[in-house]
Amino acid sequence: MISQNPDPKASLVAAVHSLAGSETVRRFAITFDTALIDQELGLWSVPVASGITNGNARDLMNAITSIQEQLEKSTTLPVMVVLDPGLD
Amino acid sequence: MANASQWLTVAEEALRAAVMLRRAEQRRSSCNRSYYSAHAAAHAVLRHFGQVYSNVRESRFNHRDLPIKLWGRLGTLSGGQMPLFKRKMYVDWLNACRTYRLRSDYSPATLVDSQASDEALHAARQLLELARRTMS
Repeated sequence: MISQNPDPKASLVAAVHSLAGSETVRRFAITFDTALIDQELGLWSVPVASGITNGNARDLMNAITSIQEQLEKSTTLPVMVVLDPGLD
Repeated sequence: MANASQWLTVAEEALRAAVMLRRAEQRRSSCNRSYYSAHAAAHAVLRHFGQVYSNVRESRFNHRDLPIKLWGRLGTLSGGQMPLFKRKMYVDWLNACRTYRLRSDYSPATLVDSQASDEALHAARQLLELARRTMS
């Protein structure tokens, strides 16, 4: 997870866009706010929301984990996918 | 201003509550307590190293800042850096607890099953053990 990417944010945004039509994203109606993708202390935060408010919490957790793993794999950045960052 | 050991006490009490609630099949409430145990444990770690609160007025770290501050602090532990994958595991456990807590508290139509509350409990235990080891 040590990135040599000269423009890590662009790389992460591109990786997010590449996931947009995936089965996981569609199933959980996941939306990404790419304008708010940011890094602090080398950790990249990717805010997401899900349009599905029923179903199983564990399935959503697995979906978020899967998205995070795919983003980390394709960018080699340490990524934290944050559900509803404004909600606490 | 609360010190690390006071935060650790909060984390331990919240985890005991989470276990009791899980046994009583109060899975949503258990997830809530698991998150706040992990939240307090992360505070204990950060305060142990003298990290300044991000929310100075309320003497705490904001929910959003907490995993990032933990990530940063675990990277600068005295006696050598914690491996990157391990730092990330703790951040992921804290974030997972938060996700389960949000769904438990704010999405009543979402099913929070036994496995979900067990996963939140497991994650909270990892954070608590980290705090204990850090402070021992």
